[in-house]
Amino acid sequence: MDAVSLARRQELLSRARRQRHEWLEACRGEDGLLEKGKPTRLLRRECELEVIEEMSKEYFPSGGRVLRFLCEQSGDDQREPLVPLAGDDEGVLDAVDRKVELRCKQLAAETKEGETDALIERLKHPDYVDVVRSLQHFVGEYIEQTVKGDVAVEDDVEDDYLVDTVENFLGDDYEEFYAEARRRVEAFASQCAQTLHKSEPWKSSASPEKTTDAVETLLHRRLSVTLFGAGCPDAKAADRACRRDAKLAARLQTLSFVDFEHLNQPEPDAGEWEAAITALRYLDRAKAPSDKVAKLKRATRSIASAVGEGAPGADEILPGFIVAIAKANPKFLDSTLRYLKRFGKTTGEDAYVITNFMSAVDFLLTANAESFDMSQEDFQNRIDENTRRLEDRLQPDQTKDLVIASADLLERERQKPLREVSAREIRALRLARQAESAVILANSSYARGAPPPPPPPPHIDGGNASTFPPPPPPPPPGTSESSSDDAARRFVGADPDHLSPVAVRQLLADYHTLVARLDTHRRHGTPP
Amino acid sequence: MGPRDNGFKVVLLGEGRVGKTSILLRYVKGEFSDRQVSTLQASYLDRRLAVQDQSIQLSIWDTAGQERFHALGPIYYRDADGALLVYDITDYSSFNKVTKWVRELRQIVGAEICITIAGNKIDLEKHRAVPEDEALDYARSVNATHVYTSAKQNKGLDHAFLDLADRMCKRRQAQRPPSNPSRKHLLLVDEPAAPPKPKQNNCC
Repeated sequence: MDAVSLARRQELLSRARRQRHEWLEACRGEDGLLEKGKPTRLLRRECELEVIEEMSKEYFPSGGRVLRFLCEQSGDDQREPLVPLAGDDEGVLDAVDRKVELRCKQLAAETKEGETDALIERLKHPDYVDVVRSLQHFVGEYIEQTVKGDVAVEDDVEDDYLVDTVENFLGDDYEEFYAEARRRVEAFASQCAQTLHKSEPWKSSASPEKTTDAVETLLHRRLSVTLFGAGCPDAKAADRACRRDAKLAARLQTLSFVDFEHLNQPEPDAGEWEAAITALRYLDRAKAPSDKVAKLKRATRSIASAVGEGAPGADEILPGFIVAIAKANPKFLDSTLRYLKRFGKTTGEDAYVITNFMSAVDFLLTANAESFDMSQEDFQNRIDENTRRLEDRLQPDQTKDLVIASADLLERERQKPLREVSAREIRALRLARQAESAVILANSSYARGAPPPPPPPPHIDGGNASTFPPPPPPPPPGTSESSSDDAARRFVGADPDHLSPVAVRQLLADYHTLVARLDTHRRHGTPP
Repeated sequence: MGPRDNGFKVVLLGEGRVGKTSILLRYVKGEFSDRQVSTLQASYLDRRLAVQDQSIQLSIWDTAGQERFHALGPIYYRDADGALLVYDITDYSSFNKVTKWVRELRQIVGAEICITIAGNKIDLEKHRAVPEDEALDYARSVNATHVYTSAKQNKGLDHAFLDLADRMCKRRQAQRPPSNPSRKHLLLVDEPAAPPKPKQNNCC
């Protein structure tokens, strides 16, 4: 009996330990680009897009953006590489590998073995069971407490960003709530740090302030679901946060033309500059305020080395920041600014970086023709043009329909479950490189007026389907070549800013036509 | 909620090319070079100083000096304790710009902010375009200190910052009542009440 209960006890203990470790592991602040020093699929995808963008710049100026757009449309799934592992793609693969490696180095150099990671490791020790339990309790209670109420949504709250400045629009509507949250997190973190520092094995390590910061970061990573953006405190606030984010994103979209020339600055060095854009583009993946600030610092450093001959100061860095934000248009930007203002540090380097970020956004919000050395007319035209494009653009809720619709078109089958459709779409995207080659091919054939290549065989057999998973729709007999020339023309001319839902459907179809055509050429060994 | 008790925020204002960045770099590293490793440190720096027998922490914030960014100024200097306004002694317009900033600082931040006006590039004395009397008179008239610096020759920088730090310390001491209620105490009192955990007490 004793042995049995002992075994039972052992089992319960080990289960508790496992759960504790899982909980702690979930507090790691992986940003999705690096995981334990290794590149993630997301980072790889990002590098692939950049490589494709660079390589196709000449003949397909919006290529990278079209692909990025298509990737977004088919869901945020990076499991499949974009560049297929075909023999003749080695050059591209090499380029991608090199880029991934470089980016990893940059990222790793700047991601110090974080205090918080060290804290997580140490908390796994059995001595700190109680501490972990109190952390879990604090987080659990906080999230429970702030259940979203069913508050009726008011329609009259309109924040007009076009006239407002950051200073004004950050005047906080839930000031009390967030100030209280900040106080509680800070107080609890410092209490935890004190407890930890009293314990024997902890003594020799970092200063209590550093431990407090690390605990705070850990807590914020768990609490961001309720404290960031649309998380809290009630449905009205959530709705407002969503609308503000959308509005700010739209405003930045109208300013997407802003470039270094408009701020009288020289063009930056490409490699570092891309790293800065990536850091800003994935700002939303960093959870705790300190994680976000770390990304902003990374962006600042990259900008500094991209724009600077010698040692760039604020005169060079601020314009770089402004252009980078206009280009990256980080998701949930309004929420991010508020979050940093509510929970970010108010002193030291962190405060400086946050202030730079805010003033860059402020500049973009209040900018006029003069700010960009443009004539009033010119400026207004660019804004109007971008506004028109924006109006043509897809609404988020159309995406689902679109994926279904395009899959329908591609497969000529109805009622596939969305999940499956999405996976198929991804596989289709994997062939992007082939599509591009097809574009080059088609381009050269109609540019030179060369005779069309031999017609493809009318059917695609099962054997090939395993090499290229989505069997492309066989082109209608008789029209194949001319229609694929049209397809190529449309594909090359595509610009994501001008795409309507119908156009995207067309684009996906064109894309598959081109893939099919390239496939045919490959099999017949026709030189492109 | 300004900086900590011994922390002081100083903004660096000055037109482009007056040498703000060089001053910052020179001050932090003690060297003048146009080939520095680029980090945040060219635009921001923390420096510990011993002033009046206490150790204080200066946070120096570089700002963009181009006219198009002028409106962003207040975001940076709003809660600053001091400002170092830099002009180039060989460029009169950069001095004019300084006077504009001084007016603004006094208007927005008020009299509390300690201002130092620095005539930089004193190594180029022979090309001077800003008359010495005018600069000194002006500084006196707005209750600011005037110093000469040369980032290139590392002249006057330590003195400029030390003097500014000294004045900021004195000002803070004069402003703060002797009792020094730390925020931490409030927090600790506040804390036990915050998590509402013991519910059993109410049951019976």
